[in-house]
Amino acid sequence: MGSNPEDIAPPGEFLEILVFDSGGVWCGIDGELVSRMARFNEAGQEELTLGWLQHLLSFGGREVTFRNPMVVRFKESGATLGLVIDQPRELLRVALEEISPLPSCFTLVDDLGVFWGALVWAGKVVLLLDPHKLLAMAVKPATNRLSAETGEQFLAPEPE
Amino acid sequence: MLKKMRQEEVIDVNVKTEKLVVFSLADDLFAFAGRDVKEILVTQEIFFVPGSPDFLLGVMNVRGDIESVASLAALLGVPRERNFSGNRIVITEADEIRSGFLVEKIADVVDVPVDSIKPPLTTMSGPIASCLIGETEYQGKNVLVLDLRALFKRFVAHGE
Repeated sequence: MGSNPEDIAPPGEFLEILVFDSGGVWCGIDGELVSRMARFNEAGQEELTLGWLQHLLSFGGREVTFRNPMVVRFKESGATLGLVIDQPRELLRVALEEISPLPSCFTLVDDLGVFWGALVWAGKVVLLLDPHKLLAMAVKPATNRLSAETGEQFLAPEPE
Repeated sequence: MLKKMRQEEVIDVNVKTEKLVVFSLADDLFAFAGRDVKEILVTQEIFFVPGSPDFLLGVMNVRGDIESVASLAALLGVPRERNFSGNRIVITEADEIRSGFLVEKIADVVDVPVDSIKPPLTTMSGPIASCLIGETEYQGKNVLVLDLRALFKRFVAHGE
């Protein structure tokens, strides 16, 4: 199981949460951990080991299509790991009190330790990811490139 | 005559009863012990949690709190819940583990004499057999009374 919210920041403090949507799943990561974010094609992915959310975690057969993929690099994770996310939506300032641990039944399911909490934003439940735990599951060179071989369903970002 | 009736009433009051929340699932009637049921909710948006086993449908926002929702049918190995307008989510809790279960329709909340709950048939097999407290009757139909703690143990078994 993931950490408690209070392990991330003491009560009364705020976190900046980067909220994004991947395959219809709303996720958030602690913005403090992010060192850099770039569009997929500009991220220098040839040098990176990329973690794709839908490869690292089962999406239960759901189709995951990326529309506006971005590569997020994290502090303290070395320069070679990146998490591919889709549709960054918002950078929220969230009081720690607004963050809940995942419901207790998730403690019974070991694989979900990558989520350390959840919050409600605009009526949606946003799952808070621990990127270090997630990227520890990564290191899959075959997922480094967007190509027919990888089976990624990728739609190029629309021209601005 | 009046004295006899009064005696019968006294006897009735002293009968130990158990509150049951009776509901339908896959053409059968099931029940949770009323003491394990915290709330019954109409179905609402369920947010999928990547990496979760197939019986965990996701999480939902209940007045700002986050509750998990499991498929009782998947845990019991019976045909999956059909979509009805009467679908409900029964929020349960036992031994500090809490989860909602999707059920097809709430039939009733009844008090039944404890001794009307008989041990389950020994011929019963499959996942259901390990998740029953016993059987009773409701309006002439058989009701399978579920053991919530045993159901939560199946969460662990599924998660492994």
